[in-house]
Amino acid sequence: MGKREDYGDGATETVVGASVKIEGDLVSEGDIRVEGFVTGKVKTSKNLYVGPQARIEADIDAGNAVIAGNIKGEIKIKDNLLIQETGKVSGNISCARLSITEGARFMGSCTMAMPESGDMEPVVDEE
Amino acid sequence: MYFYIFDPGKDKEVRYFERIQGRLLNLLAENHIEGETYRVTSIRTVELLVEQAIGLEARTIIVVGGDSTLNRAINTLIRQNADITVGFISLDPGSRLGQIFGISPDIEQSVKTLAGRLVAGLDLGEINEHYFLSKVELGENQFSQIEPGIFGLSSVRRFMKLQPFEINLSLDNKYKVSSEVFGAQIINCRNNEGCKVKLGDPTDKLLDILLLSKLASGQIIRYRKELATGCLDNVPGATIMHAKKVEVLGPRKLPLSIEGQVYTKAPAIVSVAKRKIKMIVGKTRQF
Repeated sequence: MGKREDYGDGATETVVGASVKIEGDLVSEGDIRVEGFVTGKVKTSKNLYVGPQARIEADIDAGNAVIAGNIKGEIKIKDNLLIQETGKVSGNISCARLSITEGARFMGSCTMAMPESGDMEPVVDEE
Repeated sequence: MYFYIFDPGKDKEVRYFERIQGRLLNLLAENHIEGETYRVTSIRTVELLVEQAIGLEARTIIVVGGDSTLNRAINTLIRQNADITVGFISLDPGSRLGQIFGISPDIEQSVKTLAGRLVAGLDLGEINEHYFLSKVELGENQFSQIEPGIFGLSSVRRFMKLQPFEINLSLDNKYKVSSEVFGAQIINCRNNEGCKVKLGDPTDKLLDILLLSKLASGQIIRYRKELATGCLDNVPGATIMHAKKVEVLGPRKLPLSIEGQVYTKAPAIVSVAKRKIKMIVGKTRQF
């Protein structure tokens, strides 16, 4: 008989399969993985992965995101946003760190929080 | 006071029960958890015995039988609004609920689990005023009712005959889901053995929705084991969502079944019940 420890890590991940269509506010407390079609809103404080075949026509709010699919809407990411080579984004982006792989398409404006000058560590010459 | 409901079931189970009855009673006495014992008959049903236990102000009801006996006892307790802890000794070595709750099919071990009295408050699913611990299967394609057979070959023939169907759901009144699926389940708890994803935690106040997309013949053969064991999430392309309330909007008259028995047809609502059940669980429970 299996013990609790044998089964994953609690796995509250939401997975939207390729054949699934969602209309409305997809809100989750765990990670979200989208391979299908979503219209409305996508929100999680954790990680969002948008697969290469996925199509999202929605505003996105997430902790971190990796985008390999097609997105039309405002994207607000608290930390890291990676748009992979198959990713197509049409809309404004706001994030702390942005990476765009060669081949990706992005149409819109990007706002990034700049580190305050006081937060920067002074450069010390080493002897 | 411990109130024991013995439901030996039919044929094979009766013979097994009669063989272990004396040993079981001895073990209960040795562990100081003996109590009043009643055997289910055609006129003395599980429901009547549970009502009797409530009348006698029993503190704990121990169900000695199969998963269906446990489900019937829990339904009566919830309907009667009774605050009684439930224990379970499975007479079925393949008991799904026993595996989920960490209750061994070995009589000695299960008596020790009862004596340990580790009590957990468990969520129940609700469908048309019927309460369930395990899961609801949507549509005619009920994977839990298909026996795998040798090397899963007989199940492959059954799976090949299954037809995909359209499904429309509304989750927590927040979003609507539509898809063509090969199977659909709404899970309160399940046996996660062999499954890659842990689903059906009966303490998280959520139901897990599992949709299996349409499969080609090759995929059915390749994933026959996953289909037969009910780990539909092991098959690529499966959808997993979580909600407190699931409205099955359509198609109309789509059957909703628990353990192979149809309880209602779409449109219907499946939700987490407001009340929990207090259950004695083992250390090897899956949640």
